[in-house]
Amino acid sequence: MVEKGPLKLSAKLLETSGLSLKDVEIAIGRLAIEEEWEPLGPTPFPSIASLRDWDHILLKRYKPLYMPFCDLCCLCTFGKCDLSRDKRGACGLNMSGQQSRIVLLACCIGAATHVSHARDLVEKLIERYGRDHPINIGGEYIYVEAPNTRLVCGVKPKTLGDLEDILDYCERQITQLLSATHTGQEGNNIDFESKVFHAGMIDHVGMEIAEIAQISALNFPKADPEAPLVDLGIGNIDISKPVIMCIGHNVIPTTGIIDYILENNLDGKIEVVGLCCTAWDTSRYSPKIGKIVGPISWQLRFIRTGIPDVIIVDEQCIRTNLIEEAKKINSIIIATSDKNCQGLPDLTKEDANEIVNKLLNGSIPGALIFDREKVGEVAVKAAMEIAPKRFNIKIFPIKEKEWIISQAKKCKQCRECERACPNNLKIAFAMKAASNGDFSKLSNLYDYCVGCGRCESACPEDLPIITLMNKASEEIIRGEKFKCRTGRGAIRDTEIRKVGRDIVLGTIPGVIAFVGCANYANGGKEVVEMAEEFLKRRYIVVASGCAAMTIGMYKNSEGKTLYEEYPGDFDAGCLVNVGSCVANSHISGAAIKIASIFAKRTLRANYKEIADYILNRIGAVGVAWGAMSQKAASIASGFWRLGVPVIVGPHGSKYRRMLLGRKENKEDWMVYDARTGEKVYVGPVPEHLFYSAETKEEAMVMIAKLCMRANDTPQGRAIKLTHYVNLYRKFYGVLPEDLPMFVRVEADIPITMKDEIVSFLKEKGWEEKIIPDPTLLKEKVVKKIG
Amino acid sequence: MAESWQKAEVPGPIKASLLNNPKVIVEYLKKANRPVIIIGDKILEIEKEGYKILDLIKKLSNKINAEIVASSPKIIEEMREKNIKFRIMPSIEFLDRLKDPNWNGFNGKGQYDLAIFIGFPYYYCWLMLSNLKHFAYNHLKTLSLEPYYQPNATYSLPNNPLIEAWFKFLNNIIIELK
Repeated sequence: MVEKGPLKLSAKLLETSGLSLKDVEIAIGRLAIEEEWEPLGPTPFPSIASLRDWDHILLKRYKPLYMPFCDLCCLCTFGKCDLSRDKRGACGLNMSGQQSRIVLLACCIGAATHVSHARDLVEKLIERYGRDHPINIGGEYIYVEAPNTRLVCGVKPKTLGDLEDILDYCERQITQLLSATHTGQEGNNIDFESKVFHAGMIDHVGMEIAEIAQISALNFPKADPEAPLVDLGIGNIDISKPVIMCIGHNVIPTTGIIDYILENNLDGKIEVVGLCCTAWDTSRYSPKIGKIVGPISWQLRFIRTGIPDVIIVDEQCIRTNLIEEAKKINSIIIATSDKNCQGLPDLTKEDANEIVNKLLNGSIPGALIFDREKVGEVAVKAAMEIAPKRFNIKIFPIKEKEWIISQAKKCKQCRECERACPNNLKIAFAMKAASNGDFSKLSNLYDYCVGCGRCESACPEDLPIITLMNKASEEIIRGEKFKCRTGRGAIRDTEIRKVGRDIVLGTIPGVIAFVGCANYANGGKEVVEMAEEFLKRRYIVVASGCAAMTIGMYKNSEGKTLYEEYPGDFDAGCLVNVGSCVANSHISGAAIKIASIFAKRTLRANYKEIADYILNRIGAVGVAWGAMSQKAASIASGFWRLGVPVIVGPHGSKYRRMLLGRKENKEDWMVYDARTGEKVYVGPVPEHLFYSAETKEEAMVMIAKLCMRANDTPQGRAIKLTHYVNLYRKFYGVLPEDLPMFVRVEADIPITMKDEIVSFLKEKGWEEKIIPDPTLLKEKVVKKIG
Repeated sequence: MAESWQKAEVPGPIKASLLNNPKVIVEYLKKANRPVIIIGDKILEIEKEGYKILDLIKKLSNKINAEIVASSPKIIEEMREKNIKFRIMPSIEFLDRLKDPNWNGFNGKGQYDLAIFIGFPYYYCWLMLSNLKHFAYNHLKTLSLEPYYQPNATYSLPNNPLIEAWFKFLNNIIIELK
């Protein structure tokens, strides 16, 4: 347990007349008894520099490539400082330092957001269920309940109360990390990057705590491969009923709404729909009531349909001008988080009926309510009152198609909209066509628009471009009816035992995790195509957050989504939706559990060894194709420190720093052979840690390539090479030039391509290599006896 | 003064020289000893609109003896059909090598001294050029032939959102190269 208070007593053996305890720690302020479950590893509760040596090993191989967003630093009053062409600012920092500092700031924001989310959940759930409420995220299927926490902190939480202590640690670390970004602190870009990794690692602990708390207390699916299929898409919403829309990530206020509905027998009389992770967690809390609209970028699009009667906002990734947007459709807004007060009056202590009256008579622009039960009562009562009055507003009925023409005719073709659009979409051309009655171009934009609304802000004519796009796509929107599997939570220990061997040996070619936001450069369909490609190739495909929603938003020729087509087990050729953003911790957790459960490596506070194991043995790759947020940055950095590469889409280049290997630098790809201590060349596996792909095809080739690991058996490597070569040839028509680097022995060569590859290797002067027991840690070398 | 096409993409004190005159561009092209052309996926959209941009790139490559690098499969397929010589390398990987003064190019004969960009999403090109502006300025100049002003290049064309005018401008460069 965690050290707390000014005094701590430790004893190896404590015996009284009726009691005998081993390894006891008594801390003033909190009693902590730790059972002997595993020997304590070298780095319990690591400080911001405890794992620096591991980070430096990684960063020596995967060097940062900076793409500065700005030539200047304007963070202190010495500035602005011109850092262009590696000049130094007044504090002495150069461009590399500044870029890595900005990445650290982003990751601190991301980690703080998840940890704060976890803190809020844990506090509120303790208030309701008590500190002693047991942790249960998978019953008999889960023994390693908190792999990230065990690995990082070296503790094994058992109750909700235990989680508070772990959050104390996370908060301390984030404060330390943030302080390193102050003027005149850290100055070396590699040490900044090490701190970035630390922020990511803390983020995964924070996410795990949030997940453990909500799964245990709110009875979400518990590591259930058959978690229910739920409704997704605007078309599934019954607009004849009052509609409450919940946006954000923290499910607590929405549970108040669902509970109120159930307690008052209103089930079936009101629609509760969600956007982003609150939607996932609502559907996990109540698959029958909770419906999902879509990813976070759909919020403006959905509000402009006019459907939501009441809009509930909690925290993270919410548009900050929703009061204004709610006003446009005569809808009511309720904010529920102290992190997102929206300038609204705090009515938490007022009578619910009074609040409803104020909201309905328009005397307040919205309400801020921190109490979940009151949110439930106010939201439901307000929705039922206001819905009949708003019926004519829902689904654009006041606007006929002629309205589009009249609006489009106002467009002066100045193209300011395009100059503001992140994807340079041809909005002006679409408007021109619409002004002549051709809505097809406007409707075509629907699939590609990321819903940011910058076009409208830039338009000198104040044209409601998103609404016009919506109206032109009315039929598409009405037809958005999909089924997706809600978040199942953790991966079972039994599943890990079943597939661990195949993943480590390489006979399951890889685990691909599609994660992150929906800021897609070329529409969400690309994510579906990539997921499908790897499902067909029998990789394990995992999904979370908005990416998991996107995967459910396209149907095959039989009208089925990938969730209906593929099972939800953690196994080859299966599609596993773990859940919301915080459920990403189950993905890192699965990698950790493979090292622990399958390989029986000591997990407790043994970070470096486990990360070294994952880097060299577990062919896992994260794909955050539409990553947008600071949270996505910190999630990715947690994966990097564990040795899991992450690929982002072209937009991900805006994170302004990649971590790239250089395959031709042979010395970068040397490892220790743990059996002999000799340094051995293993080839560029995995080649990169953080990589932005320009196209989905480039990404698919890279995914297959990054699944290769130094420890692959020849059989496993042959399978992985089959996919790499096959995809490369499918897209580029030739064998990959770097193929010889990945073939170690002849048995690595895929049997179906043997002749061709052997001849290619001969031409390239290929030489056989040793397959070692790979490690980057000198201390893991087993010295020869005698 | 030239302005970024995407108005928010404001870089800082160092901005690309704006090249309005094909003759001036030709002078810079002729000065280069080891030029390379990097082609992005957006080229296809232009080809789809009926502008034979790959044919122009082929002519440019031949006239200035520049290697071509691309990673978009569809572009590569097109280039094969047009009998254009090219190297396959993802743009981010190529960028990592371009910024390295010790890299000796694909043929091992030395680092490139002029990198010509065409066919990328605006922000993507902006960021790649930003890297080279800050970290490769000692050994590499960059030229953006995109239809939009790219402030992080050493030299850039002006904003020219009407593709027809831009295509004509590029064609004039080829004519001037003789």
